[in-house]
Amino acid sequence: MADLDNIPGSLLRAPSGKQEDGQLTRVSSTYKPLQTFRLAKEKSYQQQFADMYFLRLTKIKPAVDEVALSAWDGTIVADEPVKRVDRVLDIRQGELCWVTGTVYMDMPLKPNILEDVSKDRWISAPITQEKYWSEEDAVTLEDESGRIRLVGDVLKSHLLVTGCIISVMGSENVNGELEVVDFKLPDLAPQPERWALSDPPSASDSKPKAKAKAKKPKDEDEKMTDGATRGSGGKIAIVSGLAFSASDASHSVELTLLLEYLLGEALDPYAQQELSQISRLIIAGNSISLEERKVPLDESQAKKPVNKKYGYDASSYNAMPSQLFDEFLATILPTMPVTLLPGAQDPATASYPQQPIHAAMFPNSRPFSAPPASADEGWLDTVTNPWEGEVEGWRVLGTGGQNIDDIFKYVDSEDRLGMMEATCRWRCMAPTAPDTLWSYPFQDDDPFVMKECPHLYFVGNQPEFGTKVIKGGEGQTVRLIAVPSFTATHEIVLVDSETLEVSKVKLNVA
Amino acid sequence: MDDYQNFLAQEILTEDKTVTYRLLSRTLKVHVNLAKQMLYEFHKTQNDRNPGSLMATYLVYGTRKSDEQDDDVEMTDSVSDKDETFSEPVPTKTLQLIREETLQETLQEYEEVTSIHVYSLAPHPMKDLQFLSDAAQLVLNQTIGEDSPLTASQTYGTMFCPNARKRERRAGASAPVPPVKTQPKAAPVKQEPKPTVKEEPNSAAVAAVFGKDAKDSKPAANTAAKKVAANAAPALKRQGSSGGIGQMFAKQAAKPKKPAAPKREEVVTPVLSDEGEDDSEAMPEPVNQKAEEDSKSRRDRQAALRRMMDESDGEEEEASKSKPESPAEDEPMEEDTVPPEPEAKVEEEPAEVVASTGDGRRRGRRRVTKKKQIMDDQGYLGFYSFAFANSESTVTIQEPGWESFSEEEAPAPKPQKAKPAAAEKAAPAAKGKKAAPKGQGNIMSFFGKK
Repeated sequence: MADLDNIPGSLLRAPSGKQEDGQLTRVSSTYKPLQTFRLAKEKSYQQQFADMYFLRLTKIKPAVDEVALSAWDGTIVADEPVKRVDRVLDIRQGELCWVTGTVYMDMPLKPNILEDVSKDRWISAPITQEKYWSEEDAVTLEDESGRIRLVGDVLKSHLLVTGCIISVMGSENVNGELEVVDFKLPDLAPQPERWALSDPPSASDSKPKAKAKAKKPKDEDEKMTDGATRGSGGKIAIVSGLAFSASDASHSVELTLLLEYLLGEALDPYAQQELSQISRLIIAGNSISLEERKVPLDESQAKKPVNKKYGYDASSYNAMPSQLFDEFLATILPTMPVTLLPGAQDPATASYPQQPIHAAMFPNSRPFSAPPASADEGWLDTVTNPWEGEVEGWRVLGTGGQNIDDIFKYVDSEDRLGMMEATCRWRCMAPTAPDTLWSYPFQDDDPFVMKECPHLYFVGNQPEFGTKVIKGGEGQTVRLIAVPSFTATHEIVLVDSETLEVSKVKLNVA
Repeated sequence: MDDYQNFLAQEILTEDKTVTYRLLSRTLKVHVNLAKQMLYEFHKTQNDRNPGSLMATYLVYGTRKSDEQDDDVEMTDSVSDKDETFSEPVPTKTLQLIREETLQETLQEYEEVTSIHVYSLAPHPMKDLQFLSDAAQLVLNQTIGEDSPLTASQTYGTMFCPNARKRERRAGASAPVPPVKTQPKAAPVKQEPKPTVKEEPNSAAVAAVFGKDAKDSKPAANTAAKKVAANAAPALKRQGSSGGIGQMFAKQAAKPKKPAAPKREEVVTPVLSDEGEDDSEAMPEPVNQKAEEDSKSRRDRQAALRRMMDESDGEEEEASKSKPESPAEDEPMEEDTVPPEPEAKVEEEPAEVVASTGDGRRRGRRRVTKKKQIMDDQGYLGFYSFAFANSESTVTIQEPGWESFSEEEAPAPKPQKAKPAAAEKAAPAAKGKKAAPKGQGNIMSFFGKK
């Protein structure tokens, strides 16, 4: 189809001798990160995890109750009016009622801390199975008063995992189980307006973009009727799972291509103009490969207290991956701001919410990060996972993927986008924390509750790319993106910062 | 400009190297787009002269034919079919690196190619394109920190970002405290100046403790510290104290009611003798305040919770209060909620040694007691506070130890908290400095307690 002779941007020609002109200037975008998931510098781990469930229930319950009340108030099923019950314990056998509580999945394959304790195991066993899901799973609903088992085929119509808050309607049968007729989710949280936190750039700023856009045939944003609110940012690039590695060079050329692509050095002047529209790079976790960090088991057990106070033991730690990543960042940063989320493999805290990767990991890129005590965001912004912020006025929520990966284990489904949608409809982005997803024991606030619905919700390190738009009852529109792991697919995701349209670029080496 | 031909001939044909457009661009300091054309021209002229002498790789950018039946999709078909339905289709561009041999056939897979250029030249066919990353690494090493973004943009065509912010490296940010200033002043009270930089702030602190007889040493120490901090304006306040401990002592020493001098006479006695009593609030634990707040909010919530649950067991209430050193053998859960205060109390050593205050952040070591939980032969676990005093069935032991800290993780101890104890503390601290080398003091006091 394509012919060598009629490629518009061909540089297959002799040097013309004229100096290449037209300096490429990257467009800027407004950016305001939020500190929703920052933990205090000194934090106590003395608390019990039960508080998190309690907090979550108290925060989400009013929303579910409202949905349930409007749906079921005055409903009569088989000549019996549906009665509201405040606590699980108050359900009377044979009475049709509805109640709100926390779902708990009783799963034989799920690791159980009590079992570990009773069997004197002090190291949690490696999780071998990919899924906890099995046929014997039982759905139960609990609140602070008690727990009741839920039965009924209607439950199978929607994903349910431990920790989400729902309202169920039904009646208790002779076995003490609640036969569920219907159930309700809290559904999408209220969505803030665009530009709720930051000011849109003035009209004069957007002029260059309008020019650039005129050249591109696509990307007509019908939504914006007034030209004044047009931002200057063109696209946001999201990538995850770069997995820089010292030993595994299987995708190092792809990483190089990615670098050249983002720098705007690859391709021809026309395409480079297009690349200059990428205003920010978001790295959604797993930037560093884990594989070299395996320490022989016997060695680690027989480890003596090391006398070395500074630096690291070169025999047990290989700094190469982080050095490579640092070089990558240091090359990109002069031309583009970067938001860096940690992932499961990155050198950050292990439990959710992961705290930012310390800038000391990146000696070359460090000058671009914010100074320690300052409140400003850095040009290299190392942020938490999950992370919330406002980019070009849109509320963005992103994670490194652990929350969805953990939900994946609970359900018999491969639909990652469906799980992302479910977290939005539950208003809880990490319901399985703290049960199977390690989490900080929150005391006063459960930040995983989605108080506000984002415009853009991305999850990193997924097996493959996916995107869709979900809508809520109050006009909320959420763009969901499952960002694939770069190691596996060599894909990066570009999001248009005006329309939130998604496109992707696949890097291929043949 | 024509010397690029010579350069490429030298590099590729003679030295048998692989040259990418970026490498050429960086070496000759030409624009990348020009370098791409140079590679093309060189490839053409060489192959006209001697066909097959050079192998090129091409970088192609465009849209592949919509139905991706090619084998570059790594997953099994079933999975990709299944998931295709979940996601809405999106426009996909492909950036592909292609060998010369397969260029024509690969181009057939494209619906539209918007861009193509020579990526690299090598003297023979490349078995594995991953070798190109070596050349890329060469470029990377040249690039980092070499040019300012603006010149890189003008010379090589790298994208320029006018808004990029780079923090200026603060001069001497990581340099240790220069010892020259404090040393001579501190000398009168110290037998010999500590040789290492690390202990320097401490010697200043010691000097400040004996502010009575060495009045002038304190301001000196402070000015020295200030000088260091001068470039870190926000840190100046903390800095002036040269680390909380020194300030603490200094304040105390200035107070007349508890004369420090008599105390100082007895310092010849072994460290251990009078140590046991100064445990009142020897180590201000920042955790305590936090824990108190925590337990307060916790109590509130628990009260609410209890109301809701219609049950009243008072145990929870108690659990939230600090219960120092009660042998809570049968209530291990309770102990969990106790802030680590009791352990801190038995400490008698200087709570922390500030090592470096150079850039407005304090680093150093602090003395902590670590709880170690072990299982006894009957399989019990527990928390005894005085492990060694009990028998072997004891399952928790406390181990004093040093842990390093920096301000990032812990703020300076609140001076006012330490005040009541500081007088008693001043003496041992001084002893530690004067009578014996530091390390020895630690170990002595450790055994002395038993």
